[in-house]
Amino acid sequence: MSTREDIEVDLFLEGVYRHYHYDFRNYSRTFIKRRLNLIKTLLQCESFSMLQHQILHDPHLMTKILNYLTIQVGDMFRDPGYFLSLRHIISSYLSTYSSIKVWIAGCGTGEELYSLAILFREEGLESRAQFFATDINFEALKRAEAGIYAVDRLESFENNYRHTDPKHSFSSYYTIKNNYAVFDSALKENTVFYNHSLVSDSVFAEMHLISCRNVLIYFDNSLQERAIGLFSDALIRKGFLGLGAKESLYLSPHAGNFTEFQRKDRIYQKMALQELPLPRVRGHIKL
Amino acid sequence: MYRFQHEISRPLNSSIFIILGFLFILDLYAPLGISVWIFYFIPIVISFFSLQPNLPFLVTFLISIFLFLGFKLSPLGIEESVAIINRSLALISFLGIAIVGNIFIRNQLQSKKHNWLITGQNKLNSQMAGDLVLTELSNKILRFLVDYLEAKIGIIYINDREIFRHMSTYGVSVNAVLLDTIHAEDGLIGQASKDNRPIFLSEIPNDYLKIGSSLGKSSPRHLVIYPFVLNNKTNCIVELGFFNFHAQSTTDLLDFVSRSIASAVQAAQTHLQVHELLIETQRQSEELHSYSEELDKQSETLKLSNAQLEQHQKTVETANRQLKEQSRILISQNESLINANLALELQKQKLTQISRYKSEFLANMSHELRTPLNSSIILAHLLAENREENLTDLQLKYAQTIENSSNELLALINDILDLSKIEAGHMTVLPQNVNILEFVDSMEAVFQPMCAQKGLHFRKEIADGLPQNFITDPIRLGQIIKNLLSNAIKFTETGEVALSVTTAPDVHIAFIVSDTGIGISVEQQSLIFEPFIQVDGALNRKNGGTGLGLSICIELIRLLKGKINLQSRLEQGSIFTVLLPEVLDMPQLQPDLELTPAISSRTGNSGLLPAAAEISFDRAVLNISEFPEHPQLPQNEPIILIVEDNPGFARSTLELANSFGFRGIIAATSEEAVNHLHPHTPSLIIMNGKFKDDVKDSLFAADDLEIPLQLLTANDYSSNDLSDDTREYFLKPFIHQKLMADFHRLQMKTREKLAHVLIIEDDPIERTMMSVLLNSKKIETIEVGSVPECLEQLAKGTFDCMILDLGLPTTSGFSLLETLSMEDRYSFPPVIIYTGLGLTADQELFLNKFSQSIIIKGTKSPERLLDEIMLFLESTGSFVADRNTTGQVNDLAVDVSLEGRHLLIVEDDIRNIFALTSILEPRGATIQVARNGMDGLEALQTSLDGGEQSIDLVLMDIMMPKMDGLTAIRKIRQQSAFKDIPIIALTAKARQIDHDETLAAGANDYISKPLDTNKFIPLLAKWLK
Ligand SMILES: C[S@@+](CC[C@H](N)C(=O)[O-])C[C@H]1O[C@@H](n2cnc3c(N)ncnc32)[C@H](O)[C@@H]1O
Repeated sequence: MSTREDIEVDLFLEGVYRHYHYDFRNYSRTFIKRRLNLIKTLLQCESFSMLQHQILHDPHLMTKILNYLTIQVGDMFRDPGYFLSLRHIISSYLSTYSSIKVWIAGCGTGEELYSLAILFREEGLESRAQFFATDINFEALKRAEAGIYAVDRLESFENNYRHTDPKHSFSSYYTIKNNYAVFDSALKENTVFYNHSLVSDSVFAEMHLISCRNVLIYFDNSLQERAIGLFSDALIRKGFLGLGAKESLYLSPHAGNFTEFQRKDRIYQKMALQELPLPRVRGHIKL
Repeated sequence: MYRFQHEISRPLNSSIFIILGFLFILDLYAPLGISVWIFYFIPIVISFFSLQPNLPFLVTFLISIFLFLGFKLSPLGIEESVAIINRSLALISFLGIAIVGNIFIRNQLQSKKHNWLITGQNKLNSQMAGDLVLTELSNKILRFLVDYLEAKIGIIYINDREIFRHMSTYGVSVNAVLLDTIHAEDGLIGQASKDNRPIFLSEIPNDYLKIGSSLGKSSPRHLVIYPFVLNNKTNCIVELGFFNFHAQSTTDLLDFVSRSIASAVQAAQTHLQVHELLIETQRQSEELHSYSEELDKQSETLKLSNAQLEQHQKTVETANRQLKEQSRILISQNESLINANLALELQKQKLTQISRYKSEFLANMSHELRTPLNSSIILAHLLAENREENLTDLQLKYAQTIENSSNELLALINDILDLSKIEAGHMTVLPQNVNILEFVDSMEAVFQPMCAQKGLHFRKEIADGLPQNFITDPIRLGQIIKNLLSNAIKFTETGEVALSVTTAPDVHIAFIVSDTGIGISVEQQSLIFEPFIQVDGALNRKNGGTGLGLSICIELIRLLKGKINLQSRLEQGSIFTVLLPEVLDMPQLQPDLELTPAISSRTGNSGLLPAAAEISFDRAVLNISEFPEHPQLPQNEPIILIVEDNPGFARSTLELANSFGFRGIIAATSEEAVNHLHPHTPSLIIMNGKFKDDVKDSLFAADDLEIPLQLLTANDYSSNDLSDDTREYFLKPFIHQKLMADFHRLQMKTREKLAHVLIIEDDPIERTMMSVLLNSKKIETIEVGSVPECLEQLAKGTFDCMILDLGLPTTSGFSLLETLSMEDRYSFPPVIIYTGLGLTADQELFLNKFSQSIIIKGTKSPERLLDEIMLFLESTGSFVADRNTTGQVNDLAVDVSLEGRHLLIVEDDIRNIFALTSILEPRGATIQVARNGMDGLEALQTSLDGGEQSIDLVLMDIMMPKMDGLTAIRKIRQQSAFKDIPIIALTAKARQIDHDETLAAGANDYISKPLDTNKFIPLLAKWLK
């Protein structure tokens, strides 16, 4: 049986989806309710239905609500162990490919992207790598593309960085301008930023490494299943998938497509099977 | 009763009664005193094995009756009283044995039952091992119970917060109505959970769940509903239906395993909860974090506005502002200067671009010229041969003149082409180690005889102190020096021509070509290197030169980063000095480097064949000797018969067959084809469809033959229109794959031998390492260290795969691949590149065309190498077949011809490119691919400039590296030439606004990935109209 509140939430999400094409219908319910309650108090609405009325009539509100429904928390080299493992994967596994495609799904404000870019640079593979950074929050994407962070965050960045077996001094990656750290724009030279939703959109290229951290936690099981299915389709044979510290393929029906590469860091490797080599091309296709 | 009690009873029981009867009859006929009755102990003992504790007593009871009857009815023997005593004693001892038997059987039963329960528990435990997700766990539990208890139907309900959800079912027919959830108070399930006690039912209502099986549907006769309880709480209920029911064993087992099932379910539930809780905490901590960040931001803004207030009060600011204003003016002036500079730079770029376009035009033009010229040369040659001897001398002379001047024209065009190729940036340079001594010797070998012919002396000279080797492109160097030497000989009538090599300042090497010929006047010295200017036209013509040689030289020397200078005096001779750097750095390949023409041209072809496709020659051209059998192929390999009258087509099919190690025979007519069916029966026939009817009868008349037949049509081939002097035919990828699948199948059938891999690697240690690695997987290897050795191997035999290191001495891996793709003498197995070099994007592009995969050496590369090879060896053939079937399904699904259409696919995902190709090519479209928006734009531009076939439609991916699809579409639409070209966007995005965006950018239509052929083809057809 659904409570009145449940119905209201359903209707609100349906309205947002139909009108703004943002699909939060299958996000974790407890999370959505908590956030909507917060918004409700902020906007001084009495009920979700009132909130629904407001958002359907005021497009500017959508941006705000989007910012509430997508959490923008990030840190460079967050969970350093993860990045240490990735460093190893990059230097010994990914280095055997002549070009390497990396997808940072749900990149948020870009900290994860720059962390990876730094690793690739330090392992000498910067020029071979192509990064795809995607998110549904266009404001976050803009900030990711800018690569500018408040100076007071540097301490935490650097602290984490120190635990990833660093090859340089962290300060060489940014310059300080008016209390902001501007990251070396060459780091994002091989990056494209795209608005792409794991809920509705499909695979766009073949990847060697996918890092999707702390995004799946906001999804319910069916959405997680979809997203992991996308990753499984996008990865090359033996490609790597990295998840957030509390995420795993436990419960996922796609788990069979992966092996646990590094359990504690939530890094998985796609198994061989299905993928087959491409036929040789003799002159007729100009690649 | 236990289930196993029935098993042995029946035969045992009957044997007991038979023995009893037999003994009784014996006893009847034997006179009293002969103790036949003593054998009555046998049936009692036999009854021990029956597993029925009461059987010994039953038997003893029967015996007592028989004893009595026997006593009464037997003929007299001994004293009756003695007999009574005997028989009574016997009866007592039989009773004793029966008691022992009873105890024995009970024990036996007990331990059997125990064993059965323990085995069940163990089986169940092994099923439940590991971290199972709840659904998986309940599936396994149910499966076990149903199997072990021989139930016909089963359902498991799991307690989820006092609501029972059915998790798994067994044997329940698909259209049975099952309640998803049952409240803890409802019905039998609720009853069982409330009482924590099992429920047994024997009278099952007719509408109870039917058992779904192929035998029809029937309801089970007995039902057990058993709750699994842990800490007084039912956390799982199983419902089992039986046809034959053993109540005792079923309850015993369920009781026995109940605890472990309940705790396993509990553990799985806890695991799930922990998992969810963990995620929830992470979520909350992130939310908290973002909340605190928000607070931070708010206080920040507060601080900021405060500060602004203060600032406003300060009046000093104004002065400051004025200062700023002035500097701004300065900056803007600066900017306009920069802008002007920029405009200039742009102008300059435009100019060079125009000149490049010009060169490209020239390159294409001369190619266009050559094709007809080639044919006129051939025709003139045939005419001059005068085979039919019907030409007059004069006519003959005309024909010869035509041939000669056409040849001259061809040489001129070749030179122009070379020159424009260099200018257009299409000439590749591949620096390699060049041995100077060997180089000079090779020049001498060519030019010494030419000098001798003209009565000149050829001198070579190598200065001391020269390094043995230096690094440059040997082919280009050869071109330069050959040109200079042949000029020298051309312009010298007496004396000598010399080639000397010395060191030069700045780590350069000087090649000096000197002669004692007519020399060059001072005025002409400055002109001599300009294209199209001849020092002495008349002389040149006499010597058959084009006047472009020196210009080409200059350009080549520039490519090699060298210099040339000239000293000369009229009537005394000339000295050309070429200065080349000792080490030529690998130049950055130009991004627009055209690989196709260089790769697919087979230079040095006779010239007869290519033209044959265009100028229809008579059949004589196409005799089998034109296509020599692959000499290296062992004679017992299968034969492929190719029935095809177009030599180009036939050749490309033959090549494919050869590459699989098959011999091919070509028949150009149906009669020939029939002749070739004997004596060597072909294993596969590949035939142009038009011969089908002629050959079919004779083929299938020979009923003992069952030869697979593959029909092809002209549509299955495509040709390269860019090659230098030959037109070449390729099988379209779709067909190529189909044939490969056929060949592979054939190969599988005919050989069981090990896989052979050729390793080309110059480092002996690596080489050994690799061969050990592969040998460990039962792969045979042959290792070579250089390109010539490799070619030798490839000329000798075929391999399943070759592993190629790119950095080899003298000749690089790149040129090896080029050679292999051009020359028929060598087999060309699939290639895995294994290299220590980093690759440029263009090199990668080049390699991708020829190789299966590229592996860069590193710590994990051996692992990957092995993996790729194994995968490759295992999957050849099978994948081809797979791709094929989907292709054919496509065919059937929507049939639209795209014959003659030229499509540009701008897409980054290689899998998609292949998917598209396999949809489009079988329908007759030709395809060009660009890997990002930028390349796409360029491809369109080139098509406009007449370089390529004009493009009918663009398929544009949206999410690509470098330049995204939307930007690319906008840029395309900005050009008036492309205002109307149909563009279809391929998008991974599903939202309507994304689609609207592509249309707004200028796409005509869009289609979502993954592609649905049923929608895609009609869409294409619509926009191609
Ligand atoms: C907590 S942030 C993670 C940032 C970064 N990956 C990290 O771990 O540091 C979660 C991000 O997921 C994004 N996101 C939420 N739903 C998404 C969806 N359906 N598709 C893609 N990204 C999504 C949000 O916009 C947000 O930027």
